[in-house]
Amino acid sequence: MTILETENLTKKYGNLVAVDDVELSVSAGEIRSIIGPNGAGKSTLFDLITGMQPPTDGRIRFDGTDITGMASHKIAQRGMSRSFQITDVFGGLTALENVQVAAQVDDSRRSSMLRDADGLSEVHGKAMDVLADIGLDDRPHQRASDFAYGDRRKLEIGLAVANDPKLLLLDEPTAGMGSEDTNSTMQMVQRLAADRDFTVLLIEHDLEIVMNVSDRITVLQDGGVIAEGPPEAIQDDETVQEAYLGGVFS
Amino acid sequence: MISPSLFVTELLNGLTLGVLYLLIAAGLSVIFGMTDIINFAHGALYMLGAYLGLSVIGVTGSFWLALLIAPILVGVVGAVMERLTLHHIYDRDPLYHIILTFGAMLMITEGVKYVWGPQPQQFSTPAILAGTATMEMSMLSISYPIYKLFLIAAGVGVALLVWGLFKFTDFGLIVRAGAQNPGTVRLLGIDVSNYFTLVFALGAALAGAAGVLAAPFLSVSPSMGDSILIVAFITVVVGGLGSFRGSVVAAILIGLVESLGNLLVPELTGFSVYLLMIAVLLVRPQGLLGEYKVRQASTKVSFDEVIPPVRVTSKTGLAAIAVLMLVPLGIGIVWSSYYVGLLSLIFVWALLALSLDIVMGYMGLLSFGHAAFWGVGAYVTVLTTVHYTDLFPVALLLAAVTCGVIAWGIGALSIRLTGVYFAMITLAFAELFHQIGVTWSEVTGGANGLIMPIPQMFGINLGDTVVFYYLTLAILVGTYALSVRILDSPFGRVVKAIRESERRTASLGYDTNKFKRRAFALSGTIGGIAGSLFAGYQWFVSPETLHWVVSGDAVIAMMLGGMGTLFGPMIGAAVFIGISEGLSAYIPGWRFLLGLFLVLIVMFAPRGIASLPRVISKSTGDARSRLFGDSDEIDIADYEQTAAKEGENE
Amino acid sequence: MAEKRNTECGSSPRRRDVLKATAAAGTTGLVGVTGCLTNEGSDGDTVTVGWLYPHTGPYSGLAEYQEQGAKLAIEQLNDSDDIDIEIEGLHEDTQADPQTARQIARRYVENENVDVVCGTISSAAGSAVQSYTEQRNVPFFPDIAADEITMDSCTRNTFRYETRASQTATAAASWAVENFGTDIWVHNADYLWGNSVASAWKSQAKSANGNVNIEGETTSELGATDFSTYISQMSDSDADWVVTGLNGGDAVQFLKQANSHGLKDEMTIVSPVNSFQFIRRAAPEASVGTYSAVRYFEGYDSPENEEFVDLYTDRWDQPPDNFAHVSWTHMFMYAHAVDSADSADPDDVIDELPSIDFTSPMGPTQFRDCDHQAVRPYNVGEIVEPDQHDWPSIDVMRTVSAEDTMLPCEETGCNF
Repeated sequence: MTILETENLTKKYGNLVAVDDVELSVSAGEIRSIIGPNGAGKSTLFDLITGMQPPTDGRIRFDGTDITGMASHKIAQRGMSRSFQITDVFGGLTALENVQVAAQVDDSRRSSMLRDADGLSEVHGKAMDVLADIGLDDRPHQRASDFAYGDRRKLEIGLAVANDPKLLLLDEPTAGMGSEDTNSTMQMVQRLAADRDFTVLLIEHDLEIVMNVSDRITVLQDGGVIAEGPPEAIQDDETVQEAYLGGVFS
Repeated sequence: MISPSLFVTELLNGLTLGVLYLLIAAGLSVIFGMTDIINFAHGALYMLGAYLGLSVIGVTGSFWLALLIAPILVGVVGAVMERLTLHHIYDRDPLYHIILTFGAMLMITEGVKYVWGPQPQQFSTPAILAGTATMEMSMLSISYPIYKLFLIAAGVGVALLVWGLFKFTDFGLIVRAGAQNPGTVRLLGIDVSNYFTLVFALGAALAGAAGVLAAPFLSVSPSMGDSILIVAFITVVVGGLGSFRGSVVAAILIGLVESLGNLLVPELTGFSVYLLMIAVLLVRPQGLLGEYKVRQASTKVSFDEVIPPVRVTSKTGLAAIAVLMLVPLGIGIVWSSYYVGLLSLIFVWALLALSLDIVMGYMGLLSFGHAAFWGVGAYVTVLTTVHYTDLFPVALLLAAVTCGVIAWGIGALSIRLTGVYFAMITLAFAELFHQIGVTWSEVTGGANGLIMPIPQMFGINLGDTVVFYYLTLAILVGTYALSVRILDSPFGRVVKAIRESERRTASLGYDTNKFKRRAFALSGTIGGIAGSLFAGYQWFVSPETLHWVVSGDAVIAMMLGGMGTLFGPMIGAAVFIGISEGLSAYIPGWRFLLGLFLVLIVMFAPRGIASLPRVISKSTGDARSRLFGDSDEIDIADYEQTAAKEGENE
Repeated sequence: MAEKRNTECGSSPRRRDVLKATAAAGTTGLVGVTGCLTNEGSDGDTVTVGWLYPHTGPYSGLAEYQEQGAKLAIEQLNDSDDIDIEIEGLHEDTQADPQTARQIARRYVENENVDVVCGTISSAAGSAVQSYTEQRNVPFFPDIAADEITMDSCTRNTFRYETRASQTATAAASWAVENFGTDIWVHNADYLWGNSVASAWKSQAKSANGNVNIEGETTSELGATDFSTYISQMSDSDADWVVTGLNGGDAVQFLKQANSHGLKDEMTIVSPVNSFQFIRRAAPEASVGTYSAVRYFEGYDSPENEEFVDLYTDRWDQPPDNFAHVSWTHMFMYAHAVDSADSADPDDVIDELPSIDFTSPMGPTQFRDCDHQAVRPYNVGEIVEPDQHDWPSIDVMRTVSAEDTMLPCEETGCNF
């Protein structure tokens, strides 16, 4: 079953074509990576899919619905979640409050003004589960901005999974991490995806990781798709090697 | 029937105004373009230019020298102001920049009053430009003051000069590049932070030049910068923030709308500019020629530490309430009833500061328009008691609901614009209400205001100082407790999340605009209650309740006490009213001290009185390194991050 | 100068000038302080007067004179052997804000126990204070000219020596129609006094001559700075003369801009207040050749005025303006009332005031019983080139007797 599909998706800024006629089809349960050199349009593609920017042209279908032009929060409500390349957690709130905000989004009482936020027990339980999954359950009441960088990156992912997504878009989840953290983070993502049963769309620079975790890989260059396939096929693809990898794999 | 001559004359009148607005807005725009700072002291710098011009003429007798020297002096003042304050806090939230420049505005205004006196001063037209020029053509017979024709030419000249400076010189190149990406410019071995100072000085000098040029034609008084600042804000909003061309087009447009509107639709005098702004906001929120792209870094309010509100049921809370309950017993023994009345005035201000804290401190929306709720709340209360019922609670309720609805409406119109945009727009909306209060005299009593019967409630006389005291105390405690509750609710969590990162909150599936509108409506409702009680205290209302000074005072009270703490702003209100009552009788320029306090608080204790115990307990050396240490590094790093974020999208 | 000190009478230490012995008056030492006689209805010895001045805003230029006049009167009264009371003056700046004015009035009454409140110039601040003092039953002497305050919204505690806006119009409007023509443009600042002026001049002009035609009417905001658009409209019309309901800074701005647009060449400018010294000094060239009702001017020819001008000039190094003479007169009339009632009790003073005959620098005057508005004569004149001083002088062209300008009691709408 296809969970995400784009049809000649295009974004132009004046004369600059950031995303060029992209056709993407992601199956449910898959871990799909998107790779490409800097400026290939990866983050812009994420912005278009999540509704943070409107496309110039093309359609996006998510989970059977056309979501083109829909507001980003509406798309999120349908089960699409994302993390950001530059950590964007709620620094002034505690770790628990961070995930609680994400977890209460599906609760009918999410905009109640008179209840105690900590009194929503299902939300609280769900949030604690997420903290346990990302390994921060030992410090739920610490302010997010007081965490070390690596832990904030984990919280970044925790926020994105706490609202029970069907599709999770991860924008360089390991950016700035050492190799040890990188590995453990990626294992965490794989585990979360399996346990919580969501599809992953991943932007990642570290090609070793990409090759290890991905079911399929899409390669972008200058906004357009130049190759797509399972890791092995991409590794062997000459176009990719020439245009982007510059013989790294050889 | 309007004669062609009159029409052309009015066109010229509009053009004169437009050129003046252009000069002011240009400086504002130049400063914003590089530093992302909206300079609230810009009107004061304009006024300072006029006064310095006056003094230069006094010494040298030459208008031309004044036109040269005064702007330079104002530029120096701008540079000093930037170096001493803003320079160290570029990495902070824009809220602090706005409040700091607001404090600077108070200081400059009071300083001018001290040096030149509060009275309007006369600035004569230079002899060579005095008199009128006459033009006779078949249909047209126009005579027009030469000075105003000169003003138009000079304004166009200055605008071209600035444009050329940015377009064709190395300075302009570096500034434009620096505005895009300070990091890259730094890599080229150029210290960008010096350019920040230079640009600020240039913007200030432009304001100063506008002041000198305006002086012979408008009156020179300490308040001359106030109204023009609002128009300058509207100009950059209409033209598009950061767009020089946009400012030019908008300034001329506004000048023409004002003068021709006056001629063609005199009923709308005073409103036309606001209507234009609202129309533009509805159709093109980014402005006529602007691209709406406020950097993420410039919209965020966050704090180094969380200072939780004191709970009403805590020991401190209960003790405070108990002490306040006993105060009226001291009348005639320890103090006069006047002081009990004064305390109820403090409670009323505390409510206003509290309402502001909900949107500013907890949601990060910079509202400079809370005067609208204060004033409308007061007017609705007076009108209700005069025309419909003398039952005060009914009037209070009506005021609260009306203000809630108005806040929701303002929110619906402008809440998609965050950060500095929101600050300017709320200010303009409040001025619109002020204008209505002044102009719609059949209902509001115009500038004279309205007198209200002594408030009653079920046979209780609320005009009695003690009764009114307990009423305001009860409402304050109740509202505070409710606010604490609301901010701990699921709704409150989302509100705080929006403050920390709106983008992230939306990406989790929240309609952030809806939450912002609701929180703003909640804040407006409480502001309306405050205004209503103020009317109940004064038994009187006048357009001054809608003046931007009220908004500014509310911000001062909130900042003094400690933003984002709920109880801090209430303490701030007490200190503010205490200072204004205590100092105003002794020190004529007490607002100078207020401005100074504000600047110092922004610089050294951004969380106000609520954080003082912590600030003091830290060693001074520690505090110094925290505030000043490597500030350049911090702001550049911040900008690099910002630039990286923008890079993502390109 | 007046010394500042705290009183021992339980009131808070505020800026209060105790003018018991002043350098200016040159008398010796402190007159014995006889304790706390100022509180509720003291019986003569010391009265406390709370003054309110708008030292900022459009009237700031006028407020200086107002304060000087009041202080001079207090000094004179305290030195005087005729009047056996001591006056203690409180002087504060309202910042031209009616809310502030009211708050200060509240403190004067509730904390300083003043016996009388005086001052304010803008009608907004005046009516804000009026309603408060009425509530607390404290006599109030406003220096404002809007009609209402002694007409529809008159109160028993309010006494006004300052002329009513419509009084000024009564004679000046018909005189202007006679002399300048029947086509009139009316411009005013949009607030109580400005609107009073506009409606009074229109109706008086029309009743003086059936052919009067109002060519156009415009209003500007109080505190406006750019009058170009109105001036252009006036200039484009066929009006013979324009009357402006503008005061203070507004009047100065209008005159200067009208002058630079050459409006004086096209029509006559008439005003109820341009005779004020402040305006003549601020817009010297622009005001010469315009006409104005004259409530007061420093060159007015009367022995009382000569004496007043001499004393005032000695004390303050400049001659008095209208508001100096109004606040001075108010202070004297109040003191006479307290003295002759031998009580500062509000009700006694209010009852006594209408029976006080006083000769002010502009002639004999008295408060009417029915509306507490002073009956006084006044004048119309042309502003002419400087004579005695560096600024323009006034040629008085017509004097109107007190009786001719007073509205009959039953037409005032005043009913205490």
